[in-house]
Amino acid sequence: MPNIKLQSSDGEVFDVDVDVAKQSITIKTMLEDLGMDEDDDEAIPLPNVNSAILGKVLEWCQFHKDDPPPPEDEENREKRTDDLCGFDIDFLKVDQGTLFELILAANYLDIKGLLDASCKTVANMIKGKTPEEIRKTFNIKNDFTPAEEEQVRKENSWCEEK
Amino acid sequence: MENIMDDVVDLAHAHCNNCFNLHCTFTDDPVVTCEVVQCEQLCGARYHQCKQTEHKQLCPLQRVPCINAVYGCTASLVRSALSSHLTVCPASVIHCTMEWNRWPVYSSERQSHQPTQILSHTDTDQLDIALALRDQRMLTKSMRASRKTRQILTNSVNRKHPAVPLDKQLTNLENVDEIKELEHLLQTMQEEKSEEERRRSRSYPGLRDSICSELIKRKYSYGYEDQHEPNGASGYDPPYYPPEVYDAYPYIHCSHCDRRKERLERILGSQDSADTDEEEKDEAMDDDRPEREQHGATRRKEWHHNGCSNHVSGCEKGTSEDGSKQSIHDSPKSQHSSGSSDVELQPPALFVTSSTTGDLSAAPSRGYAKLLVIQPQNGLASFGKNGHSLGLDLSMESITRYQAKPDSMYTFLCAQEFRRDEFANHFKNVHSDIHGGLNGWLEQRCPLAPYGCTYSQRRLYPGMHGAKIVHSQKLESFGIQMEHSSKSADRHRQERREDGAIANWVSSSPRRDGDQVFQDARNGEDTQEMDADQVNGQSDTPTGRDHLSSLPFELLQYLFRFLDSFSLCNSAMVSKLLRQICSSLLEERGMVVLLWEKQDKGWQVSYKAWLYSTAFSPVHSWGFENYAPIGQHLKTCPYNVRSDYPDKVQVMGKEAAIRKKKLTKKEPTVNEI
Repeated sequence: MPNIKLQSSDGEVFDVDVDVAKQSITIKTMLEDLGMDEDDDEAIPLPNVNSAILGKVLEWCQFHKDDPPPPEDEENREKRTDDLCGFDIDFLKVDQGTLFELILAANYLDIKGLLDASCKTVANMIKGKTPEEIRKTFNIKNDFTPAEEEQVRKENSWCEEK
Repeated sequence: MENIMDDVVDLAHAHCNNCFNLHCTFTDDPVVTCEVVQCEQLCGARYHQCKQTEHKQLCPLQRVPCINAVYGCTASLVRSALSSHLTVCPASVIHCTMEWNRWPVYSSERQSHQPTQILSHTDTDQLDIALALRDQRMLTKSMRASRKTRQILTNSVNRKHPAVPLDKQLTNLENVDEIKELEHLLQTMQEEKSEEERRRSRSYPGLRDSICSELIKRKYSYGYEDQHEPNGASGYDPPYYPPEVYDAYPYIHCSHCDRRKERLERILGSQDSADTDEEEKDEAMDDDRPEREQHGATRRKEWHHNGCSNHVSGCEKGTSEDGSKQSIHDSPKSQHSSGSSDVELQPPALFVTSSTTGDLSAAPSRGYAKLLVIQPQNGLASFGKNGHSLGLDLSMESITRYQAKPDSMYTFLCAQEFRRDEFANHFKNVHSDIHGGLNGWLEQRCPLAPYGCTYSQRRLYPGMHGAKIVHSQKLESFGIQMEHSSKSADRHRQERREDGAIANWVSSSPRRDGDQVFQDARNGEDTQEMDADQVNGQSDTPTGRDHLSSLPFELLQYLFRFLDSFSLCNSAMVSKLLRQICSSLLEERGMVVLLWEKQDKGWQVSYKAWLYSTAFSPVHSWGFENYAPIGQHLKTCPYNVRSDYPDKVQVMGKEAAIRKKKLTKKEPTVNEI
């Protein structure tokens, strides 16, 4: 298969197989819309992804290039988070900065598999934790006033006039 | 509906009324007919135009409100999707009516003087204790209701105590002084018990009195009572600690002193010596008491002994029979699921498990004994905020819903609300798997728990390895915590460190910037090893950024769709932004209930309340943890003391032995003859 060149925001150029790159719906649509020249040496610029993250994204795409397309999941259903494959679990054992950049990159490049896997990893970090533990895990500032917090704690619901 | 149909019939022309021809050409006469048109929604139907209103009542593509609109559902969807929506409809709420029962720790019908158990905070890691505390909170809240209300709520199956919670369960009210309420509860329990006792003593004067007096007479004449006899016969004082001990170890009563007190009395009485070692030794000789000289358990022994001697001195002082004292012991920090064998010396604690109470509860009418009223010495407030006091039995009982419960037994309801799609898994996972496993299957206690060991280990994990069941006091519910990443990261890291090759580099390497990350990414595993250090942000976030909140709103919504309702509840209490995200998903994942208020015209719906249930991700399978069997713990359990008998013990009576010896000697003579 032919290769294409992808250029990260910091200027590094990655030479990748078209099939690997096409897992990104953004790149796939671009290639379909604009066509592809065999001898075109121009790299596709990806201004929202730096080289470190693009490297990881491409590593993921390389591993998952033979995956069947994901089934259409039903809306409004809770999604499982315990079905990550072994590769994804190890792949996403990264620091939080990298993990959230991967989410942003997967969203920008429209790679559903990677987006789901990284979101599931974050969801697993939230699941079952108390509010204090969640704050501690993600370094979230508690911006409720004491009165608000008391109210939220007392009645964790949203009222709506009938 | 009839009116609508009438209108339709009225509107229809004489011809149209009976014409079902899709290609009807008789459309010329405006008096009796009209044009044939296609459905606007493109469902494929063709009809005379005057029947359009009628068709809208049936068209599968017509947008209609959900049939639960009156209950608060705001969804408007095509008719064909109505049924599939019902399973996820936020207004299709199911109230869980599961119920279970517990004995109070002391009860005239069951076992008369098991004092209140004071537990340390850490014990709430243990699910059985967490649930028992939840039940107790429900019970204390129910005591806020007036006596009259409570009486009204009793019925033929719950004759004495109404099933709690009485009202819809809400999260904890922080401003309520729980300790005071608990004291009130205990007081009420005691009052009820005393009343019961008075009633009993009135109703069965002859037989009971005679048995009691006989027993007591026998007891005093022999100086001890049979240990298998109910302890309640004597109404003695449980051991008592001086206040400084009380402050230092504000925990659990020593069941051991309680049970073996007769033996102690005997031993101490015969010795007249306060020498600790002597006593311990003597007891060891003729008592099967398990917690004794063990691994240099000096501190525990000391406490234990203190309790015993204090108890005895209490007796000598002639403390009144009814006024008992709250005794206390150190409840060691839970060794929960540690699997480690080096358990610290643990002073005794009381746990009533199914193994110790099962037989007693099976004979509920044996409360002939003089009852012991237990009044905490210094008041529960002295235990501080870290202490929980548990007046309910740890083991759950399940008495069929329509069967009358014993009078002193309490009935608890789940009383939580769930969406229809969550209910099945809630019932299976919580009531069947977790509740069903609490009496020793899921949460496995040390077999010496009746003697005071607080060790327990969680035998099963839900779903994938590393996940665990937790109990949230805020939500009064069980949840599932996914710790996979951190745990496996730790394990992974550990392995690599053992590997040694990159160990130094890992520990000494500074945090890397993007380029370095990339370089490492190309090196494959090494990066993952490095980053595993920071997985879950436990180590790198105290000074770091809040990456989660900096994600775009839509992405956060997408991410939060992966959470279960339990976690959404918790997330909504984290920060304003996360609360906003959670509120935006309410219609998809939450549920809506109507809040009724009494107004001049009567009861009316005043608000719709949107909320998340406490359901957690379904658990389809459970796996066994890799903990060592409980036998490993027994090796180091301070309560597990072997009684060695180096001297020979005569099994038969001396005379019988001699007779048998003679008989065996004679036998050959007989044969010879």
